[in-house]
Amino acid sequence: MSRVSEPDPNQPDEGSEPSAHLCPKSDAAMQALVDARFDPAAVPPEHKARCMHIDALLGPLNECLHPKESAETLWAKTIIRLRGQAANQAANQRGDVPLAQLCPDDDGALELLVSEHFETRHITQAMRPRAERISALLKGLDQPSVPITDAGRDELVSRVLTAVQAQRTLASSRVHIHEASPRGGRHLRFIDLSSIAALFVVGAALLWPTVSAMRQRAMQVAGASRMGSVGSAVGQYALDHNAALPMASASLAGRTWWNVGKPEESNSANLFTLRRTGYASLEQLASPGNAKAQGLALPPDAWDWPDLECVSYSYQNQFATQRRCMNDRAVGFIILADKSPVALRAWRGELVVYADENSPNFAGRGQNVLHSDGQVVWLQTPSTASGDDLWLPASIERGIKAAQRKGQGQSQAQGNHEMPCQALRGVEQPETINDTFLCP
Amino acid sequence: MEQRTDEQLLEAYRGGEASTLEVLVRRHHDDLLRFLYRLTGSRTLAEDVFQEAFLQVHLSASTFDTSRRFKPWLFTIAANKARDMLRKNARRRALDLDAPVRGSEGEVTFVDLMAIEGPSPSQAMDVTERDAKVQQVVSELPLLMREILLLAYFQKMSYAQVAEALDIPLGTVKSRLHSAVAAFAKKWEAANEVDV
Repeated sequence: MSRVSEPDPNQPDEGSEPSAHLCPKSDAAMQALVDARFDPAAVPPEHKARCMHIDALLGPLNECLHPKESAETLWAKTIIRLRGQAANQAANQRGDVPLAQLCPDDDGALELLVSEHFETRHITQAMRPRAERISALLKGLDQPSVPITDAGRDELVSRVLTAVQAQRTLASSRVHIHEASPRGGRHLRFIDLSSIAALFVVGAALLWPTVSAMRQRAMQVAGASRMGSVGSAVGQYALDHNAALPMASASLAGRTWWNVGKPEESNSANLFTLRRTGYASLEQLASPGNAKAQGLALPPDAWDWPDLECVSYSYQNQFATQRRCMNDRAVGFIILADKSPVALRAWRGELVVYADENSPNFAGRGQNVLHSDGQVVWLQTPSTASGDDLWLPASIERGIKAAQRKGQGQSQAQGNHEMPCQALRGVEQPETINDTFLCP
Repeated sequence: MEQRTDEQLLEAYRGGEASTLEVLVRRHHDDLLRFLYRLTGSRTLAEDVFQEAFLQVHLSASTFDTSRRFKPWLFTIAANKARDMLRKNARRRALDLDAPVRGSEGEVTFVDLMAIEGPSPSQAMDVTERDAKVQQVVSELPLLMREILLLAYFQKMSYAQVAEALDIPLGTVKSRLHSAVAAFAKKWEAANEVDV
């Protein structure tokens, strides 16, 4: 029985989105080539050039075909091959091809090897030497000298079973507590209840500062953890997009980047790309400190958050002519931080910048900052180690510093941290590639 | 000796036959530990992930679709746990974990396996030396490539199965697996050149 009639694991499932398509002209040319039984000389003149090209692409395929293979087999393999070629071509155009690739012959051999579940004996003679070479190469993976002894095995099995048992005990104890409490049997008198209430009040008063600090700390840790997961999503995105940071549009200079909800303009739409393309969920992109982002529901095809207050993070402004990418040699440059208080004030029309103002996500105590190396760091001021302000482009920072120098004595005497300066207008961009400027 | 299939054992476990979990743990001990050792590069980490993976099997047993195969499910859980643990313990930069393999000039390097010189990992060589070299080469691969290579190879999974297990597009699986083999071959050759 022909193998072609079986579902081929290498073909995308029916209904799933193919990773690449032939363009309409190539599609028509392909059809013409099939109609002409793969003879490029016999196709209509308008398709001839493309058919010659397709024929050249399919050249290596002929070498791996078994002479007894049927026309259906040829057709099926041709389609697989063409899809592969088109996918590679599309990947090349996107620029996300890793820079070490198998040569086309090895590529074909590996494909056959995977489809034969790494058994070389079913592979055609022409492709077998290459398949055997790949198999020999991968054989090394089989043989790690992890010394496995009976005692070691017993110990690990015992560890696993103990952990599972502990989990079971924990789960059942939860159930018992739940079941036991409502049916205590003994009735409490009013005096008992009031004593307990008094104890609670005293205890709460004593514990409140500690509990409050613990809550803040827990929130900060939860924020760091969530931001870390966004870091993983950015890393994954970069891996699939030639090390580029997430982008939604061309992000041309001059656009008003705080126009959240207008994906062709806003900077937040660039970050939202992680959700739109499935690298991160809406929950991951919601800081625990941003109440407006919690429980937000948006359609799967949304391109941006509905308004600026729903945006939890400030992302490196992508409206500069030169943008950083993940393979930048600079160690751990900053990609993301909690929401910028400066952009938020400017967007609301407040023409002031408070020196060292922290993100509103954590009530001004500080902000989590994500670096390109995946590290999340808690900063108590919005300044980097080099003195770069997270929320401002270098040009405005210089203006502020000048104003600070000028009015230093006066401001210090008044204890006033409000800086008169040029407010953000929503069109600024990082001055240089090294300028950290995070905004929604 | 237990004759039931993995899927039947898990079904029985769900039905309250607690002893079947031990059968499953013992049955998959060697393969899974080797896989995890290759993936994490550390025996201790591999054993921790092994334990976590079976704990997850216990917790998620009720959601397992017994019409599907147990082993790919187990290995996928283990790969996910290993990824989480590696990220948690990461001392290396995230970029190292996730970055694609790059040539120094930014050019695509086409690897022709027939032209690769030196012994293949399956050829005679001091076992300890070969193993250390293979592990070194595997560890140098980005985590996502390592994961796909090991899942596909250890589990003999098809592209579609890997795509489903890791929840990524089939085209991505294919391009990553092929790149992983190319990178593995290139690094293996380089590791042997250094010694010559």
